[in-house]
Amino acid sequence: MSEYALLLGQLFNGISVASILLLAALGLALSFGLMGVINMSHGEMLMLGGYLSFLTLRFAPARAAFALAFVAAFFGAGVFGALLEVTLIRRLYGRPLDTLLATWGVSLALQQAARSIFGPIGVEVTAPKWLAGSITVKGGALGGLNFPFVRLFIIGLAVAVLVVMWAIITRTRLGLCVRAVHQDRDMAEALGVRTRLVDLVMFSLGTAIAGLAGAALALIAPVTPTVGQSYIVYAFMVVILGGLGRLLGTLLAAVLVGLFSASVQIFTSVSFADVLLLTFVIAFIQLRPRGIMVVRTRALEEA
Amino acid sequence: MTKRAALELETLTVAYGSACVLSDVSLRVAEGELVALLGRNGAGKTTLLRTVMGLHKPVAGRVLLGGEDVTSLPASSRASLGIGYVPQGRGIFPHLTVWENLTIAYAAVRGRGRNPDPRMIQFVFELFPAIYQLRHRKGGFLSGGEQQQLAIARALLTEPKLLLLDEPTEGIQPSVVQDIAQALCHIGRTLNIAIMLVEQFLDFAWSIADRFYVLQRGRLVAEGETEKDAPQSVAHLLSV
Repeated sequence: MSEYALLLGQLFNGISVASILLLAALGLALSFGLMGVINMSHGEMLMLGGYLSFLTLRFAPARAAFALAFVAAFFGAGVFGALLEVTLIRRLYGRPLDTLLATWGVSLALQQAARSIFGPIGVEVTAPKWLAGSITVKGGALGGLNFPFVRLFIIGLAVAVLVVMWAIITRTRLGLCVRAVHQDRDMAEALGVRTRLVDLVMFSLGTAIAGLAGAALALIAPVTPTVGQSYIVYAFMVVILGGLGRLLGTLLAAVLVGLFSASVQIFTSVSFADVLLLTFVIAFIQLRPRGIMVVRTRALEEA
Repeated sequence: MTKRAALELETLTVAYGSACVLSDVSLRVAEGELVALLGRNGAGKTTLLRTVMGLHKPVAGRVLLGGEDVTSLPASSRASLGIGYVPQGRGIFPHLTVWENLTIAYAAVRGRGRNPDPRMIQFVFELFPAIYQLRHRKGGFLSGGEQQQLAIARALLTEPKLLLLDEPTEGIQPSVVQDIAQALCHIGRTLNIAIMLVEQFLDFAWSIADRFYVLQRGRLVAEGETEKDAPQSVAHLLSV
């Protein structure tokens, strides 16, 4: 393989990692970035989506199963998120530390529940045949390059989710209410916006997207009870790095983190790449405390 | 000839923790009436408006809107029942456009289960032509006077029966103050909306209000009619 091919391959890997980070972080961008709620069980929504996808693929009729798996993951995690909001998060608004502890508890409970039901060893989801192949470049300067369909599919999914979320926030009535609540909660309420309902819908949408991310993740790695834990830190990092309350920032941060990891891994081991990544993020936040996209937000300042 | 009440407060008491901000406040605003609420800084005027809007919970007492008890309802429901609110500092959403700032108020009308009345937006743009010119601008880029006009326009689009205004003249140049006074008189007359106005300046209050109440340390200490009582009669309650 030529050097160009190697470089391009790593670039593709970086973007592939970025798309997964983006899927994991987009839901968090809603709950943490827009609403200021620190949901430590966000990673377990990924896990939930993964297991729901596994169950659907196992029990649903083969033809529609693949699409159904994503639908089940999306709505399953969304409904769970709505329940979580009504029973727990709603009662703890304005108490970030209590929210953090309570949702961490939920996270532990869900991990143990998964361990009891599915066992500690991961379950495998088999991608349908049409996703199993890959595009391989034969010969030429880029000979030996390999683009698996599954990775391309996940990149496409991440872009689609991003576009839909952007459209909801900038183009719909709900999005207008969300932006108003984000800027001045009392005033929005005084103009007739049912802010509690807006909170519920946005939180639930955030967990639903995490469920979708989990279903996508299940295509490339086994679903384990702790699968969420390996992504939650990166997801929070992406949201903070991107700047709170900014979708474009979240996208840029995901790409940045993905490319950084992939390019550093050319020279060093995976764990040392993580060390470098964290150092980079810490340095970046020192220089630009409000992230890539600066927007005035009260989510963290008041906490 | 007693008109029906748009707003009644019955022995309203509000506290922050153990500090009592309003105690035993009872007052009444009739339909189409313009009432000024006067008092020094910290007398509890803003708290009173916020409690009427539903942004503070009273410890005791009742809030009645058009005879209906709304004390336990959240602010969004009260907006749908017909309270328009212009807060201190105007409460403009800085990152929303002027147009978005206005249309967010349709939430209150939709809460009634019907669509917004297109005549209202026409009325608002005729009243404040400058706002129409600025409709694509971000709210945060408007001047103080423009923001005040936008805030009043937005409150009107909730199609209220009662309009609450918290110091509409604060930090605004004198020429615009006149415009706002005229607009408020016009609104009260043509739409038959009751208005309750918090004000520091006696002259402004006397130029537009029918009646007044004076708050002092959370209690009502004086009330009267602007035609019968001279501004001097309450000046000693307001001077610092």
